[in-house]
Amino acid sequence: MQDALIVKNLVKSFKLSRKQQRIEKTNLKVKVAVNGLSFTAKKGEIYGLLGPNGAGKTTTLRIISTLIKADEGDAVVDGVSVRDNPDGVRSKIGFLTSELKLEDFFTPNYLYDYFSNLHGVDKEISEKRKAKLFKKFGIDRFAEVKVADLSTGMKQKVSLVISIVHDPDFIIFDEPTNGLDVITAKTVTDFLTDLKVEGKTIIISTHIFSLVEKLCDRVGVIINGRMVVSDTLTGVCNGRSLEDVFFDLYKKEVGGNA
Amino acid sequence: MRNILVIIKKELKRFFTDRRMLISLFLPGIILYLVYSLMGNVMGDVFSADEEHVYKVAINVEEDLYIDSAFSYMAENSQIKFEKVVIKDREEAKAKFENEEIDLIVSYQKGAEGQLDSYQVFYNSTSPESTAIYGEFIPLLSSMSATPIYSVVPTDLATDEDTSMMITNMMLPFLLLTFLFSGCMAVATESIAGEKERGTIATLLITPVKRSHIAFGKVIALSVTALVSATVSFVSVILSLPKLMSGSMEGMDFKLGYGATEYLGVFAIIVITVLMFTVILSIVSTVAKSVKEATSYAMPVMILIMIVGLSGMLGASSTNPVSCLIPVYNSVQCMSMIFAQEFNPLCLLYTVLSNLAVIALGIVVLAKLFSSERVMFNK
Ligand SMILES: Nc1ncnc2c1ncn2[C@@H]1O[C@H](COP(=O)(O)OP(=O)(O)O)[C@@H](O)[C@H]1O
Ligand SMILES: [Mg+2]
Repeated sequence: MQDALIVKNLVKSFKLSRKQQRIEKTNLKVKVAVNGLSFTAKKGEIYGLLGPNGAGKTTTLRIISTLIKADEGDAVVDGVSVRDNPDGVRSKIGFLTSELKLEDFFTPNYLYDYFSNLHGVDKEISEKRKAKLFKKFGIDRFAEVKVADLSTGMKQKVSLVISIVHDPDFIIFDEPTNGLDVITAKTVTDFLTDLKVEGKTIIISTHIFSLVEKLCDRVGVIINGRMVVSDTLTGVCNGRSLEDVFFDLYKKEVGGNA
Repeated sequence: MRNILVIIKKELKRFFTDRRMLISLFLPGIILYLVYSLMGNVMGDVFSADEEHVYKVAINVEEDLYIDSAFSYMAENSQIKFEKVVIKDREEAKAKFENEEIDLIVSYQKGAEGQLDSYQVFYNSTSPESTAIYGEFIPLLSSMSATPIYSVVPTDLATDEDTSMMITNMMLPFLLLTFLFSGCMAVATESIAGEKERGTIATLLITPVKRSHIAFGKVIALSVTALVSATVSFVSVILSLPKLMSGSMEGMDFKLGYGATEYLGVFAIIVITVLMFTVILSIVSTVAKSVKEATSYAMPVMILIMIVGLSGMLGASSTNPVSCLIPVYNSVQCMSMIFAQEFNPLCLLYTVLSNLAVIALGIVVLAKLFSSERVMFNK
């Protein structure tokens, strides 16, 4: 199968402010968040980045989405490098996080048109796509209600739809089910499965084993900014549960009891 | 370019349909107008010189050649009605003067051995009647006599209202700056720091739109909004000025009659100042992580501006055009000069140029900040 995303040797460190030093209980001035990380995702598959909090998942996904720049290394999306052509990459990907919010003041309908417009989608195509997506997610019922008055589940649906206004071939989703109730979480995972069926390539990050087991074709385990293992789900697990495999890797990497 | 317009349109929709935003944008201008027209009305009643008023002049002697000829000259050549009252007792005259029963006291003083005779004149600079009859009568008297005239201006008659009136006049640049700044502050912090705080700016940052274009879109939309709010303030100043002037008095720096040049000057200053505020506040809001943080950064700036604004209360203190290169200070100075009818085109030019320089520099900084991941994703 074709390589859709090649991540090579990513390194990213952050300067720590005094406050962050206190929070992280360190005297170091820099924090290496991602440390020589590489992996490859195949076209039409769902790839899961699995790791504990602070492992460097969000940082990695932000680099791939061109929101931040890597200190070293590169990520190549469908032949386009984030380092050489970040604008080119941005038109290929849709980036979503549970932190991604919509402005309370506007209606789903308005926001859809706004972002579609900013992505440079042709008006006619945009209208058709909007009608289809709004119907599929039941957004047409509240298309003219301000985001402020929507429930969390409704907001999440609108966010999902808005992240794919430009029909990207790549969807990058940071912690897709974080902070969602079970029903909304189900909507999200169903959505991801649907996108996969449509032939999209999807990268998610999570710390939830069951989510990876249920959704992903491939999994990469990140610990302390390093990719410990990256293979197909069956290749990684080899008959054991993902959880057991993870804690073995974690003990080896960090030492002591997890 | 197209994307900038798309962003501007959305931001404007946000500002002009949100009640909270509208209040912070337009309430200051409306308050300014209400306060000043209220003042103007109260003052106007107190101070408008009545055409039917019969001016009473107290004299301490039955007859005096010069005084009497000045009176008869005035009777023939002036429109105003007046009456000569003879009050020999100085204290009685003063008491009546304080009760505003008489408008002017002219007191003939016999000179001591070997010295000239003289006149002593009492008038109240805060009363239009008193100043009017003083202005009319004393020049006549002095042109007719070779006797020295000593004017005494009792200030104890100046009421609280007179004082507050004067302060209000001088406070105009100060209030205007403070109101304009607070209006800009509410909108800019909400539009930039607010979006960062709520995480909605990230949604914008992952679109293919250039970071600098997002910055331009934001700052242009904010400027348009600030200008609309500034125009409201400007209109309220225009509407307030005549009211104030009708309540103004001689002896102060304010005279009637502002022409198109003065109005244009004030408008130019307001526009350029408000644009500068917008850019500064946009930078502050971009650096901050939340509205609260942005507001707390903006507070010291606001206090600084208020202090500089207060310098306007001392009147146009410096006519040195180079001092007009200092932002904010120059706006205050220019406004004070215009209100005092000492319009200085060079100062205005310097003010506009120095503010434009700050604005241009600020926009470059803003575009840089929007491109900086440290700023946009600070924890
Ligand atoms: N902007 C930043 N400034 C400083 N440190 C950061 C920043 N972003 C992330 N970090 C640090 O980098 C590490 C990895 O963070 P992140 O990628 O968010 O981890 P994850 O998403 O796996 O939980 C953490 O220790 C985090 O505190
Ligand atoms: Mg994360």
